[in-house]
Amino acid sequence: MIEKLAGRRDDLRTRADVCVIGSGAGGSVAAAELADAGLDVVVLEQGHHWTSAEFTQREDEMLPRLFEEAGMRQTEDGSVLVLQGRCIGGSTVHNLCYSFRTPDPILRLWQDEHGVADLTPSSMAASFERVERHLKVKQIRDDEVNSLNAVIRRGTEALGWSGFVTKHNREGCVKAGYCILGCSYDAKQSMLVTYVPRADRAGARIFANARADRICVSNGRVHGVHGRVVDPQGREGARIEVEAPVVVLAAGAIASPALLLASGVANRSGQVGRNLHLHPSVMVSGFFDEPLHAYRGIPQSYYVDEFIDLERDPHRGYVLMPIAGFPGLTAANLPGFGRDHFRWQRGFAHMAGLLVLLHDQSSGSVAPGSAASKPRIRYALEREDARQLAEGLVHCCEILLAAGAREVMVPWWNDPLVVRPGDDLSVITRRGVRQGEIGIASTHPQSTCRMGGDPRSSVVDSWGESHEVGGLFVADMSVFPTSLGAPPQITTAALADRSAQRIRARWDELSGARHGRRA
Amino acid sequence: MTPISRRGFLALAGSGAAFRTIATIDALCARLDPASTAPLPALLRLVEWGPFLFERRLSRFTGLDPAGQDAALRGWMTSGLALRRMGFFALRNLALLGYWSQDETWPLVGYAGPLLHRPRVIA
Repeated sequence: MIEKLAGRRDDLRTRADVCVIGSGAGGSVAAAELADAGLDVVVLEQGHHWTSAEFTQREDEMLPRLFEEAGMRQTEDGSVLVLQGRCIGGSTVHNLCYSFRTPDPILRLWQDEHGVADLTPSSMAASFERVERHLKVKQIRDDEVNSLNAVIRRGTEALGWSGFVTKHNREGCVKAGYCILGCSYDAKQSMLVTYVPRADRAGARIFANARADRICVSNGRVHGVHGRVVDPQGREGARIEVEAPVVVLAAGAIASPALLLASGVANRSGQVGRNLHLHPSVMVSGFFDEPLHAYRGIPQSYYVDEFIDLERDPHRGYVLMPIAGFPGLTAANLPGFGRDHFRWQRGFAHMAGLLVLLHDQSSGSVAPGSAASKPRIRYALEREDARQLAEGLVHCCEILLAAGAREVMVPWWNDPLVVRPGDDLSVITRRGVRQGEIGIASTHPQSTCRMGGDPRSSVVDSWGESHEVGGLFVADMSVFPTSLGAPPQITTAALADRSAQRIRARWDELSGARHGRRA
Repeated sequence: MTPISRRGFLALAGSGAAFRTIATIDALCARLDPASTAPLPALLRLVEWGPFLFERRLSRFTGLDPAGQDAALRGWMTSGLALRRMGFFALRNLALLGYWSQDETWPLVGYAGPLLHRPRVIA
């Protein structure tokens, strides 16, 4: 049962075995796995339940529907745009379907430096395989690479750099290109069309427009969640009270720590809301003589990994990714306003975007903000990370120019830089990347409730359970002990699957005497 | 929509023709969480009084000619105050989204538009 609570007048009070908060890459997996095991699962999702029939391929309509703060969420100083989903299915509804397993060196790093137990490629294999099967992960064929990605591939290969065509989670893709506005064809195998229906079929009660405000804990054990009905416009309605001996918090790396802090629980380590990594990215635009219509086809199918070698250094590096948008999203990424802005915008059909995405060491924090929907996000780029981003911008320009761009624009807000073939690109590293001077975006906030072996320095244990609150699990990107250094969808889902298997295995202990079901 | 927001938004979008930009921004704001839109009226008042407050000019924004309005907006964009820059980009991005969501603007940049023709839900 998926029920939209918007407009509901009477309070909702119910009991369940497990209450899952959030329905994205982590929450929906936990919900489906636990419901499949016969547990009575309630899912609280603060976003609305939109379906593909309501995906109109229009930015002004879909951004407010699918994204937190209509896609305009920012860090407190306005220097980083933080894009996150707010709907049933979470960010998987708008993501671009890169499907990577957790890099082996990152698993080793999390084991060796953060004390996460039993986290190896082989111990994770079953979870990876289950998730990839449900999401129908497959290799993108060469003939599916669109004009934008072909251009980036051409430039990368001309320079002799490393890149490859990736895997994705689409089935029956019609190559419309509107993935970021929600797939109107149900070809994207987001949680909305995979794990959420699976949880529904297994008997989970899934409530949209249901915001969790407080996780209830007594005597060191979680016993439920209190919240409010909240409609798509943010108006509050009836109260929600769910009593459950197990709570899986999967609201994402911004909302999850904000909720723990607002509830005043699980933070003896002082690490809740800290260690925020963003995978910050900066985009450059190459302009070609021929029209590319980069927005058509699979938006991201090629991936440049020349500048990341996690085996050599699991802490540093960056990747380059093609990126395209529609007129509104593209306009927001271009510098200036009025006529100056239009000078770039009119090249829309001839434009190829390439972004540098950083495996960041810099960290920030999350705290409850002025409203439940507006947590306070802080983030400061460290010098070495800023240097790497600038270096990445140089390489983006090199690829685009090698691919035949007549000019490339680096979007410093006040004084965009235009480079042409033969120009000296060292000016980019001399100007450098400073917050507030160039557009920085994040689609991968993570690490704010990190897992680890030591309760003094981590929030949850190796299986996502709070070190100090029994029955409270976290199952989203906030548990990553460090920046992941790769697209996070599969890692998030696989770790949630692993947590769910743990809950199943320990159900008798976790449920206590009050609940007699067996998982 | 106030005169300041009308003229400010159109200057930001670089629009010679309004199309339904203002109506779209209005409709967009009506669909946002009030916590996100609450600062907008105060921000628009600040833009209106910006020439006086920040540049000591005896004029409101709406009293400036188009070149003066551009200069005033550039002052917001390049301000040393992070909050002022943040306000500028919030208004700018709203203006750009409102403007470039209009079917009539798409031929200007060679965008073919949605493949599906579902009824619009706003503006």
